[in-house]
Amino acid sequence: MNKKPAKNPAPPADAPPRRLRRAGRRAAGVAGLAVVLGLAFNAASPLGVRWRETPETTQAPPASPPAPPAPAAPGAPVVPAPPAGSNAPASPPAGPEGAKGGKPAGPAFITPTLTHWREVKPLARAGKLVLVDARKPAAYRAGHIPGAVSLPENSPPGVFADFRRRYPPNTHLVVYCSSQSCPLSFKLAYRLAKEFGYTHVQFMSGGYLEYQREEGLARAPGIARPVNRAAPSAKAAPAATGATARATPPRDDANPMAISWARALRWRTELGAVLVDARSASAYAAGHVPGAVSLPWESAPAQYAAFAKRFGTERPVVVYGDRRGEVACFSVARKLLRDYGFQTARFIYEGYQEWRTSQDKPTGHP
Amino acid sequence: MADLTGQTDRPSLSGSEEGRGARALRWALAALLIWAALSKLANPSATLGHLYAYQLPVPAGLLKLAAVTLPWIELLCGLMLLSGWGTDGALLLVAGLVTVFLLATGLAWARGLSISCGCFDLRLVGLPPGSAATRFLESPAAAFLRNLLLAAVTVWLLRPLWRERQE
Repeated sequence: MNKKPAKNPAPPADAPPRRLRRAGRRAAGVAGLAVVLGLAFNAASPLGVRWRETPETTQAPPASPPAPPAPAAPGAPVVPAPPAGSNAPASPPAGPEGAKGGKPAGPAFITPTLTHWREVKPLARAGKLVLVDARKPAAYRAGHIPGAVSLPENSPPGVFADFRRRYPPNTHLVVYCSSQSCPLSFKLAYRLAKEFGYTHVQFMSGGYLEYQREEGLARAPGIARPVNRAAPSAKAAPAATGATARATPPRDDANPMAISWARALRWRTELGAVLVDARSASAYAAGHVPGAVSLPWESAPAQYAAFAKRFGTERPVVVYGDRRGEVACFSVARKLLRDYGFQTARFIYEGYQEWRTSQDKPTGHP
Repeated sequence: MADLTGQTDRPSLSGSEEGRGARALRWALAALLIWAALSKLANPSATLGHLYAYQLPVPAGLLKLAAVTLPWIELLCGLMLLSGWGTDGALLLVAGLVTVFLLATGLAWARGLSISCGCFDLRLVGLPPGSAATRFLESPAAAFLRNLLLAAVTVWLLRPLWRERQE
């Protein structure tokens, strides 16, 4: 195997011994390999570190010397960083630029950074961060990003203390409010970092609106109304609507996901939209709009997934139910959007029955 | 193969002489490193968040590189220590790692930072996040002391190298 033992008795006195040298070479090789593997893995991972962005990730005291201020008592190592006066107004700067100035006064904290829904989404899905809703409780109740925690910016100190107890200071927080024009997300993010010592706070400046836009929840073409996420409740459609109320009742189409039969059929011919029948399989078998695909609203997740696979998530989807005001079609459309990544899904606020009666009249859509 | 050469070179100092205690320690160290590596690899972004939390006087680019690379160094070293191939090199790297960890956790402890060390994912051993045990094990103080222990083990495992050097 080797004829080297003769060399060993007399290694040169100044040169490092062979074994050490070889170990060093190997260590360097492994480190190099680790860099290569790390970069490749990071590029492939959806949770990977992004190299650019974050010019705002500045630490407030940039030149904080490594030497500790005093030989701090090791007996009290786990003292939380936040300053005592948590109810003192934070007086946040006008924007991220203000924070960058890095006032030397005040404790060390890490300035919150800007982020966007498309960066937050994979992390939120994986449960790697906590979404914090800075809006008023009423706005939160009316609709929020799934999984978000409500923490109104003007909450009393006790609420903040609770929050601090539930989420340790290294929790990755992403704060949002309603939209670009609201200052709450940055304000709250700044306070969480500065007063409560959170070390990984980001704010999503586009807010709830950005989330809705990117998830296709507020991108209804031609409808630029404030979003009303409430499901089209059965209350909205009095049972007596029947034949007289052909004109669209405002409650129904106030939902940006709602469209009319006319528009739905136009979408089908012009955009290649998939027409989905959300009623039960037996109702579908008894009669359906020609060309409609059956996807009963109580379908198992596997059926939804099969549907997504069959048509792809790019094609617009239009869902109809049995009659006006029914929730089934809405729930299918929302599920496709939320859980299966469909880009565009709408429901038709009139149902199959309305379509049939319109077919009976000569003026109906073909 | 190359390691075999080393063993025949100096049978009195290398693997063949490794006692049961040393081997057990080596494997324990390997397991710890692999655990740490997998915890970090699961989420590079979170790893970077942990590094930011240390508030080290180090440029962000370097921290990012560390977040991306460190887990892989840990993983490769862990696998090498487990298999016994290139143990010396792996131990040298681990010594370097532990030195860095000692500095970082020691600094955090001295500054009184209330952070999680980001060393291991304790959920993998069934400790719920937020529990008292988790909080203690993740505190900089505990991490620093743990690193001291690791450093001692590493140096002890490296002793054949030092002995050779002194000759």
